[in-house]
Amino acid sequence: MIIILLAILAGIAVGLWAPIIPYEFARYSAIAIVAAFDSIMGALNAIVKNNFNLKIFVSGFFVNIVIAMLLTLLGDNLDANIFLAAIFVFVTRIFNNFSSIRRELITRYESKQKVNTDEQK
Amino acid sequence: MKNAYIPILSLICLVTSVLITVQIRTISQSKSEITRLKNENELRDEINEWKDMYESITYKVSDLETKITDYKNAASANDATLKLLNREIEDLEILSGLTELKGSGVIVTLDDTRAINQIAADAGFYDPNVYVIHDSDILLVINELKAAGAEAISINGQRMTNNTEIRCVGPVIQINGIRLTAPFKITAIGAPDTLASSLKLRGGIVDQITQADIDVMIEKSDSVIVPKFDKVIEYKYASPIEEEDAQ
Repeated sequence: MIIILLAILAGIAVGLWAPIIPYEFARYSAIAIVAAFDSIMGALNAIVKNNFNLKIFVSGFFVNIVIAMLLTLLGDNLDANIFLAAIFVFVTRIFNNFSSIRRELITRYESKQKVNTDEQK
Repeated sequence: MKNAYIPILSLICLVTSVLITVQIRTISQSKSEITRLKNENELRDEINEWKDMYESITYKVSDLETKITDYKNAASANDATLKLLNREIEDLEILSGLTELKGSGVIVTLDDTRAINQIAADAGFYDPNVYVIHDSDILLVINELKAAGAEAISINGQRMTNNTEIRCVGPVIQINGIRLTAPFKITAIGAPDTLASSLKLRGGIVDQITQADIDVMIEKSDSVIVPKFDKVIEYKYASPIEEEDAQ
């Protein structure tokens, strides 16, 4: 956990130092960020549920980013807002993963309390 | 073995946080409202539209002006007093910028510094405000030229009249209601040496604005042309005081 936090802090440090991207590509990096965030939330959900698979996570992370960017490119060329659709899907999944994690943790916490009270009896 | 994913997960978190930070910086630095609100093509169309409109209007103006000259010539052809009045009108037209003028003078060219591309390439980002010409720079030069006895001044073909504004409008400068971009060519009629040396004084205008990374070029010439003010002078609110009013 601490390693992950350190990694995030290091990432912010590198990001502050790195050159910025041209504004035309900001849409693409935005969708990439949302895709990445979605993958990470999916991973956290899987970790909490103990069915985490590293290969699925890593492949999903990169493939999602690439596909999201390609779809945005296609949408820009077709003048269709595929960008928005992709954002919608990713954000929906982020919310679902969040609520799934929350539910899992609360259920686990409650069952633990129940065990404790049972033991006290 | 259970925590084998930690290094990879932290690596991916690192990548993501780099992305997010860079993205936030990008967005916060592309503050230009115009690029956000309108895309390039829309802006280009708009410019073309206005250009067409402007061209047709200037055409109309020159048409009407030839008519006026015709009438004037016809009226003054046979009357001596009218001829005198005509001369007075000519003088006043020079003063108000309604005639094209020729004479010795200087041409001052102000351009955004050429180092700008290099700076942009080095930094990946630059603050254009530091390197571009502002309305104040042009005002300084104009003012100095006037102080040195310039008789007529124009900027990129826009004649300076009594009511000419020099004003910053986003990335361009508006003069006589026309938007102009760098390089700015300031043409002034007057004594070439006096004009040039007053600009070049140590610590003077040229020193000040070259320090602000603006390229300045002063060219003396025996024959420069200052175009006329190509709009109609119209007074809606001001009117001269008649003697009855004055009492």
